[in-house]
Amino acid sequence: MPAHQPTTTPLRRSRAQILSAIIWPSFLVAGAANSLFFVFIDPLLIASELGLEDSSAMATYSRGFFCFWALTLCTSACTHYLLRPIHNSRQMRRGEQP
Amino acid sequence: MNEPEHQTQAIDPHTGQRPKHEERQAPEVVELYKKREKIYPRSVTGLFARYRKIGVGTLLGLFYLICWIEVDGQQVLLFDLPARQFHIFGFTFWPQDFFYLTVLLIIAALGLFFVTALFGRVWCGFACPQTVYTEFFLWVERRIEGDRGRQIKLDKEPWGPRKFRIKASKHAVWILFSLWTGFTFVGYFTPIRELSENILAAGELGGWEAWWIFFYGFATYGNAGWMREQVCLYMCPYARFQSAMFDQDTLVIAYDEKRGENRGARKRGTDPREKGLGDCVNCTLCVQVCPTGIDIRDGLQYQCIGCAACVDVCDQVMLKMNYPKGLISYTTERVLEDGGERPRLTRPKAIAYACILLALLGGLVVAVVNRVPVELDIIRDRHALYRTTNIGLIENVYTLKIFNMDNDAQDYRLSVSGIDGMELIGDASFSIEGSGSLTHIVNVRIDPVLLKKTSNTIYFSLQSSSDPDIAQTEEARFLGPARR
Repeated sequence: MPAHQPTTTPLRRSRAQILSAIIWPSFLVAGAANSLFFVFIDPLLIASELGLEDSSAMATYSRGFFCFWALTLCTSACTHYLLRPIHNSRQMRRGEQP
Repeated sequence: MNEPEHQTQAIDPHTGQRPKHEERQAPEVVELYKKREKIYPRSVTGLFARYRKIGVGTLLGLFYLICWIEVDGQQVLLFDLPARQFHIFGFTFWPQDFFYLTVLLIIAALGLFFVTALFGRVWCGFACPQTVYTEFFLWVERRIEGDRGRQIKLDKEPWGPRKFRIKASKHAVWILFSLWTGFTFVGYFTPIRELSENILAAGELGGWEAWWIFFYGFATYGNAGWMREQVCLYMCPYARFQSAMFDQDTLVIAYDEKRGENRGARKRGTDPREKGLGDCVNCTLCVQVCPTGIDIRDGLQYQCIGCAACVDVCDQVMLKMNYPKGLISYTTERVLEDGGERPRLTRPKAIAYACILLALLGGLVVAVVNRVPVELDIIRDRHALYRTTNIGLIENVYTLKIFNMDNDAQDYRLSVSGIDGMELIGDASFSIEGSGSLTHIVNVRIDPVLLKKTSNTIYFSLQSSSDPDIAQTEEARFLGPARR
């Protein structure tokens, strides 16, 4: 078999697919987590605990949502990073597909 | 197999030197990311296109209008986040009621499964917000740029004043519509009339409200204007697992391969059988109208959102050719294979989904009707287990949080039971306004002689004086000195 013949079909995903797969599920989970969190916790109470007395409920909900989203984004991004195919360096030197 | 690695390092016969690292043959460059080819769906008319227009019009109309409807000065559908109350058509729900919301979401999901098992992806093709907004954006695009052919031509043209004018006006309309969508969306969380007054008064708009209007507007513009079918292909979980609900009797968009092949062009009036041809004239219109850019003749694919645009356009071609309709049709696998038979709707899977759905729906209705609109939370004083009064009575302190979830003001009577001889110190009667809450501190006293255990269960009961059905009892602990 010639050295440059790919042994398997290369995994071709679009950037849009990868970004969507990171951003979208983390957005959904952050929304769900945020809703669940504020079911049990009064936003005005937590705002005053954090020393944000002037903060409106809407602002606290929004801040909470973005905190959750930041966390879930990190998780999704880590998962994507760890799921990348592992390249065999010997095969790479020969110009083979992993 | 492969040549041994050291051979690539061989001495060059002309220069007598080993090749430098960079001069080694570079591995073939493989494009890591798939490029998206823009899809220009051709506009289509016909039965299913009409259904979709009705669906899109109704759903958009509902979304943009319902938020403006008020009954008795109360917006009928409002998820009032600042006040932590959800107003849903006359019912007021509280964060404590989130159980109902969960059941409602489960019912919605099961409903989707049920419809999918029977009719395939009708949700995707006719009712999904992604489809609804994309249809509207496509309609705007066609009004401004023209249909498929003219859009392709315009995109190939070099940039000039004409192209700029056309593209700019398209994006301007899209952006205005998206901002209106964002404004409407926020209007379901902040009273929309207040919101619009604040916008008209300019500058009084809360920072976060403005942020969410732009965020949701941007999401609409991005998803319906740019992402389009990629949302269905890459982001939608339902698209990935809908096949699990499919069986041979599920309605799908299908191409009748037996009838269509071999496909090929022919003159009208010639007998295709003589030329060894099937009914497919290979006009590729089914591909041109497809919003996800697939060829339905390759068989059922997960990219197919079941919009039936190809059914409409193919039927028109068949009519022109004087062939019977339905080369591509909305049918089931079983009908296609066995032929003739009508789709079977009643089958175990569908009946099972329907039964679970009805049971849950019934349960929810019973639960909502029997819901007691008062909530009582009891927190025991954390600073002391108990205290002894100067005359030797044992006293526990409780903080009661009472939510009146009714829309009307209520007078309540509080009582305590569980151990004989207990005495409630503090206001036993109080009133709470409609949709209001009260934090109430009470003491419970008892003679230690009457206390048989260290830890006792007692019950706080709350009773509305106007409505005997509005009553709530909660358990609490009463602690006393350790028994010897």
